[in-house]
Formats: sequence, structure tokens, C-alpha cells
Amino acid sequence: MKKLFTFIPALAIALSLYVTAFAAANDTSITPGSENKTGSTSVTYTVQPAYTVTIPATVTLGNSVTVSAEDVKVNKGSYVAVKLTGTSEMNNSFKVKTDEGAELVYTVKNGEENVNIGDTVLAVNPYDADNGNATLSFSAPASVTYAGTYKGTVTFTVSVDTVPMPK
Amino acid sequence: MKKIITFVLSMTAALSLSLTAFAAAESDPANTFGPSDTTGKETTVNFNVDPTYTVTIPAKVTLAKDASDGNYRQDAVIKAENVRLLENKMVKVTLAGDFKLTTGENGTSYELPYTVKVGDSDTAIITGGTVATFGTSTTDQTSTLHFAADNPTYAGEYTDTVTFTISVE
Repeated sequence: MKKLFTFIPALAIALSLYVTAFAAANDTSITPGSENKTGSTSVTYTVQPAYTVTIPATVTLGNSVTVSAEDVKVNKGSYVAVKLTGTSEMNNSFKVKTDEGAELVYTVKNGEENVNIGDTVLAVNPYDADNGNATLSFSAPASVTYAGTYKGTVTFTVSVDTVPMPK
Repeated sequence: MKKIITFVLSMTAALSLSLTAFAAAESDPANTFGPSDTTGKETTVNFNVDPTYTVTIPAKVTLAKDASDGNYRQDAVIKAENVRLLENKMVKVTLAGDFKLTTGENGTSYELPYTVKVGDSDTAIITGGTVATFGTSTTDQTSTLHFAADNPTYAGEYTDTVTFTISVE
């Protein structure tokens, strides 16, 4: 039994040495007797996708905020997309509420265009530039019935999509 | 006693035959002397030493990002061992390639040029250029190649293949 325990570690060491030697043997060794006096080397490098997207932590109705993307590096033919994908309200409606239950409906615009759930608010393609930003305006209703602290959330989602980009 | 004498005589005969055979293998009209030979004769001394060398080419060079400037670099070493050549001869290693790394395919393919420099040289190698020369030496010899590429616009897996050729000149 003792000899078996001695043999197993020794075998493991021998196998590990064999694996190391085998890895080095992938290089090409050329001698005077080599029929082919050439050797090929594979040159590679991997560039990982990267980007930094910044969304505002808070926004007060009646104001605008900036959504930005920087240092965008994705595969050619792809772009970084920032989308407004949801709200805290039922059916993803653009509403804010007080604790007492009063509601206000608001709108979000990207420039002159209304933003709907699922719309892309910012798209950055490194083919054009490695950074970009969008200004979103959150509009309050013209009239308010009840006083109170109205609150709600919107959700932005970032993804890497393939061209063509949205218009 | 009689048997001993018989054995000795037999051994003597056997030995003389072997000596004769040995002498016959060595004898040659060109280098045997007779009473008439008054001058020396030549024996040619030969010793053949075949050229040897082992040059090792790396299978792969993987560039890594340099944090200082965002570019990608890596060194590769060409190694020569047991180099023994005719006098004044050298083992020469040349490099061939287009020195362009490629990522993607078809409509999304993208090429990024890279450079290869040797040792302390600031000049990039062109295809067919010499990247190492090794002379006769009992010690191992190396040549260090510096691979470098700019920080690319796009992410992805970039690849290329270069070919080294060995010759003795």
C-alpha cells in the first residue's frame, strides 16, 4: 500500500513533466538535416470589447439630462446602443406618483422626437467615433392638481448591436 | 605434453593467419615499402566534421496591451544551439510576411498593420529581411524580435502568420 502511494505521486510528476515538454515541442526546430528550412509563427492578439456608458442618477421633471458613451471599442460592424426599456409604472407608462396616490404623466424627448419604451436614445459606432451623447428632456404636465412628492423610475439598458444602426 | 604442443602449434597457426589477414587489409601498393623504396610515402589523414546547428522558431507570438500607451507589444526569441559551420559561414534567418493583423471576415474584416524590429534597431523589418545571423559557437545564441501594433479601433481576435527561413551563407 505504501508503495502504491509512492508510485501515484511519482506518476503524476512524470506526467506533468511530459505535458510541459510537449508544449515546448510546438516550436519549430530546424537543423542541417531538416528537409524544410522554414518555420511559421502565428501572431495574435485579442482586444476585448469596452465602453463606458453614463446615465443620470436622478432627473427632475422640467429638466434635461445627458446620456453618454465613452471609449467605445466593439467589433467592426457593431455599435453600443443605449435604450429606454422600462419604467416603474404598470405597463411601463411614463408616470410619477405620490405616496398618497396622485399621479402625473410626463414625456421624454430626444431632441424633438418623443421617446417610447424600447427606443434607442444613443448609438455609438467606433467606425464614426469612440464616444457620443444624447440629451433627454423630461417634460412636466402643464397643470398639476395635487401637491406632493411625485416619484418614479425609468430604466436604461445598454447592449452591443450589429449594424445597421437605428435612424 | 603432446596435446599441449599440438594446441600451441594450432594457436600459432591461427594467429599467423589472423595477422596475415590484418596485414593484408592494411597493405596497399601505394603505401607499402620494399627494399627499393628509398623515399617516404604519404598517408592521407582525413577527418570529416559535418555542419551542425539547431535553430528554434517560436510557434506563437501573442501581443499584450501595454498599459503605458494602450498599444500592443510582445517579444519573440529566435534561438540557435550547437552551431558549427565551415569557417566564415553564418546561419542566416530571414522573415517574410505582410505584417498585417486581421480581424472579422467578409464585410466586417479589418486590418491593422504591425511592425517587427530586431534587438536595438529602430528600423522595422521588411519582408525578406534578416532577423538573425549566427556564427560557430559552443554557446547558445539568440536574437530578440519586438512585435508591436497600435491600439486598434475595433475589438476582436486579430491574427497573422509570418514565415522564417534558415540558410547558411
